[in-house]
Amino acid sequence: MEYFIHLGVLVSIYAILAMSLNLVVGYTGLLSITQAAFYGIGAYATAILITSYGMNFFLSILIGMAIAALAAFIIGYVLSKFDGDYFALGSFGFNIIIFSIFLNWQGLTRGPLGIPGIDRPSIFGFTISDNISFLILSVLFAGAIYFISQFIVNSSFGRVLKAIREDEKAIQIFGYKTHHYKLIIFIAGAMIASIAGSFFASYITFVDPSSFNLNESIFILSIIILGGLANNKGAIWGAVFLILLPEALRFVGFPTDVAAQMRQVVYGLILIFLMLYRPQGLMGEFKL
Amino acid sequence: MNKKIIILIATLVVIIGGFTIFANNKNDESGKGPIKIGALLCLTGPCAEWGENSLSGIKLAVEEINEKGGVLGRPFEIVVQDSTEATPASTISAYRNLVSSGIEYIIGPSWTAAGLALAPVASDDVGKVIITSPSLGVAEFNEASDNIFNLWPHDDLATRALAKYAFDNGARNVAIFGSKEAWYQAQSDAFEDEFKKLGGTIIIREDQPSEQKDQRTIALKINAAKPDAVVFTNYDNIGLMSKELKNLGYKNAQYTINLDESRLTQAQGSLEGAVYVTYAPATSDFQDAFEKRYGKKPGITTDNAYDVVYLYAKAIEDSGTSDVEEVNKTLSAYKDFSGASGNVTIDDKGGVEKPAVFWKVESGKFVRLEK
Repeated sequence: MEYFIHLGVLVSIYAILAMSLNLVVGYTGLLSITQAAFYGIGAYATAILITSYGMNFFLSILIGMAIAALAAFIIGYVLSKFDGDYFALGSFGFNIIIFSIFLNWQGLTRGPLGIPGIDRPSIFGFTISDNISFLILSVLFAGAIYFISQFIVNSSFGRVLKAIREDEKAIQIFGYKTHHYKLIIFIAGAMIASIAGSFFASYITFVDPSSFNLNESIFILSIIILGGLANNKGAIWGAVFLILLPEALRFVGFPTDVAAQMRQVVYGLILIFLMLYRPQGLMGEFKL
Repeated sequence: MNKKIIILIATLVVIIGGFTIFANNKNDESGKGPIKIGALLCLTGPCAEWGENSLSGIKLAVEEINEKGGVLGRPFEIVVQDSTEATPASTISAYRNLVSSGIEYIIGPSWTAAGLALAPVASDDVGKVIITSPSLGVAEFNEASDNIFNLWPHDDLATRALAKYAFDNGARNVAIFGSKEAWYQAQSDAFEDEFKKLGGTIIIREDQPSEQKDQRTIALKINAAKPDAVVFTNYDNIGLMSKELKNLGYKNAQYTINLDESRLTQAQGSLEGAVYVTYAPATSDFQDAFEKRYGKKPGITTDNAYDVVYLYAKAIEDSGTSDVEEVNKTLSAYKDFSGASGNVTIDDKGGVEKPAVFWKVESGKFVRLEK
């Protein structure tokens, strides 16, 4: 049962990440490969604030969100000068910069040795030490973020984002300062990703830079492509699928000597199959 | 294809997978079935050679024990999970998979980064799980909790011995080729610290990501610095860097901590004459038994993993029960152990001490140096 609870927590965390990136990529059409950086900022903020200052988890989430927002403002301001593929390359570069900071600022982050001993959340003196309580908390947060995301995309602000995705120049003609909208949603996406990072840090109780590298950003992008761009339910289903599929493959009866390698082969084949027959993803509204 | 069908297929995979856990791996509560040993090893990625070697040692030990009637009349059974040591979450998933299946004795993980991530999680399972790594060389792992053990000595001690060896053999200005990953950085720091205490100088230290395979620029920098010796702690890329240095005409000493066949092959002869530090080789009895069973020599960590199985067997026999709490107490009380990997002294924090041994690459083979 602990195993399923563990998977449930991971799915919740990645669902939050996927929804955060969906706002930027799916609804606004900005191909960002930097989400792991904001995820990492939230995680390290929580790790450092809890282990070094004994701060409450929920307060650390707020501070993590503020730091992620500041980083996203700076990064987003620079990236707003770019379009299309150049935006993607720029975001790629920023992910590498943030990862390098995690790895090399050893006085703050302990570099590759990571930060262990991160406490679980506590509310009014009650510590959420067991995994099922943590699962409930993470699902509640994921649910809240789903409703917030839906509110954003169904509002007039959200309609402008979709219009930017479809034809930015057309909407500029109507007087919309599109770079403001892009910057705001980029910051919002970063803040939501940092919440996922805070949960990750407190759940795993250990953070190191390896969880926030470029591969992770690509994985989060894969979740929303597979789940379906511009669909928050698709983002959640994408997280469910990509987290649970490799775990389910552990139980396929491959011979012991090749089981690990065959799992990876089958995983890759399933993804290719899905992209061939469902290129818009499980519930997507459009393709990249 | 209808999206609902895709979602249905996905859900079915999960349900079938979940059902399989309970159908095949549920714990035998009668106490009469096999004692399951979880092999949580790196079977894919850069550490795969270590994980595969460990698994072969575990299999041999389990076969031998079962041929003699098992432990307390019960056979051992191996349940293998790839620890997928690329990220902490994946290693912890594999661990949770084993523990949820009722497995109480685990061997693994293989390398340091996964161990550091797993230690806090495994610490919460005192009294439920015992975990012993056959190949993880840092103290933070086994010192995290009373149910965590380590049959591989702490490598920074061997690294300090290497620094002394290099200094005693005339090196005064050394280049370090390292990486910003947990184990690699720990060794670079240990070497630098010890070498400077002896009076030597680190004239250049380059820490490169292990996934960076083009080492030409770094090789140029190192070669230009004209070191007396180069120390490789970037374990993944020893062979690649050594080849680049050879191409640039570097002829001075090369040192490293541990060396395995795949890295030697990667080097394509450029590590000829290199000296590395590790621990005593497997006993000749073990080597013969392994070669007789599998037709090849044991690789790095095979003997250690073999010994972990025997250590568990001894602790269960001595406890008279397979109850984890009792076995944990018995294991923690051992002061020494003699097995395929030689004689080890077990400290009171679940780690071991073994004397470091120096080896040299001669004619493409590993030759032990008598010092």
